[in-house]
Amino acid sequence: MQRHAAAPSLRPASPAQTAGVGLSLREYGRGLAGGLIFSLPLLYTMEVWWAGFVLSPWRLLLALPVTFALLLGYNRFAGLRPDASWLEVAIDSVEELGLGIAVSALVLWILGRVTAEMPVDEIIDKVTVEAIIVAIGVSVGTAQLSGSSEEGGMTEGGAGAEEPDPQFGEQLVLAICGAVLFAINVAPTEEIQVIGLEADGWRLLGIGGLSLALGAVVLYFSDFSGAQRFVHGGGWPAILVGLAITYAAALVASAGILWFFGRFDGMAPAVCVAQVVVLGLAATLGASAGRLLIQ
Amino acid sequence: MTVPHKNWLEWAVFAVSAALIVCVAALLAYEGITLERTPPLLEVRVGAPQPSGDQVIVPVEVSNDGGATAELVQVEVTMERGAEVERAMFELDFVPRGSSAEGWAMFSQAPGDGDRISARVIGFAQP
Repeated sequence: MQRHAAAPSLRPASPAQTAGVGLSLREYGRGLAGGLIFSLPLLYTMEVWWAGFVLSPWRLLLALPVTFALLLGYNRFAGLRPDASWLEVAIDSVEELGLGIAVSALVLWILGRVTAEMPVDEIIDKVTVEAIIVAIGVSVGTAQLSGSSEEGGMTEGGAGAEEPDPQFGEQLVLAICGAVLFAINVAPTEEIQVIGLEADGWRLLGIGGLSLALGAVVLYFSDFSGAQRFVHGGGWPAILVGLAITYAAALVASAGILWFFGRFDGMAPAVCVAQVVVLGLAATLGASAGRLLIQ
Repeated sequence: MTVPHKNWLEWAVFAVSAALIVCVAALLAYEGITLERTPPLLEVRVGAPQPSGDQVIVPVEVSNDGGATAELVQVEVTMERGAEVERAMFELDFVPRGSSAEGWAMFSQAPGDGDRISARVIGFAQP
């Protein structure tokens, strides 16, 4: 497997040269494909369409800056462009959010979920919910789907040896971004709520244990692609600390997504916690495997 | 910070994207300001009956002018033929705030002169 760390990006990262229009078009094409690959399941999910007209417009509005912050995280730390300035990262994030809105509107219209007869409010609400998900897909897709030789590329070992140790903050941001990327695919479905309502304490403990075990296997024991960049020995204490931080990031991401989709509304605290733990399994996979894949 | 070098296409995409985001944010804010936190306000409108096989179907439109979405909206439609009353009903999954949804009621006979068709919402759930 090739990784493109530290290789020049297709985007004109250095002010010295400006990429041609053809190059940019190819990159947008990649972004669009990526956006659809990661978000198509949710464009075909009823609960997500419903979320548009069930959720308060303020909640949807709040989701825009939060998504923008996540995009900044993906683009800064997962975009494989260590030389990009924050301004460029911010411009890319604006473009991805804009593409997300456009793609979400187009697909919802083609699927007949948004029609010209609908009130503007309903259209905007539906498009916004899906746009958030598409935008994250566009960001990850742009960075991950690049396979062109112009970008160079390094073998994994070489990249790992030359790169500086990953920063703690960077890893935390990537863990949260990975957790959101995975967990958002199942969070809006009713299944999470059903499992959360039905699970007793032992089952939840089991789900939590399985989450931690999966996280440990991915990060420390299975030689997962990219794992050695993150793990530098340190023995059991380091493993436990890393695992705890990963699981904590996963739980925080789960809680945030569930709150956004209104899964906490009117629910008893115990049921909220149960849902967070249930979704935490998906989020932990994202925070461990997803993080390693997107970084 | 220096302005990044981008070609016209990239600047165009950026400009359109920024405009889209501003529009969506503005519309959401406008919706938030104008939306009153009132329960669903459902109104029913009965359309013209038309034949369907050997039965008759009547379109019924349910609109929601309240501030919240109604779920599982049950609509009862009655046709009064003199002393005889025939009932039909259907359920709508959702009637979003500010929107309308349509259903059809089926009756065994076409309405005659003086017969009356009326519809009302008999209940709904709050999502």
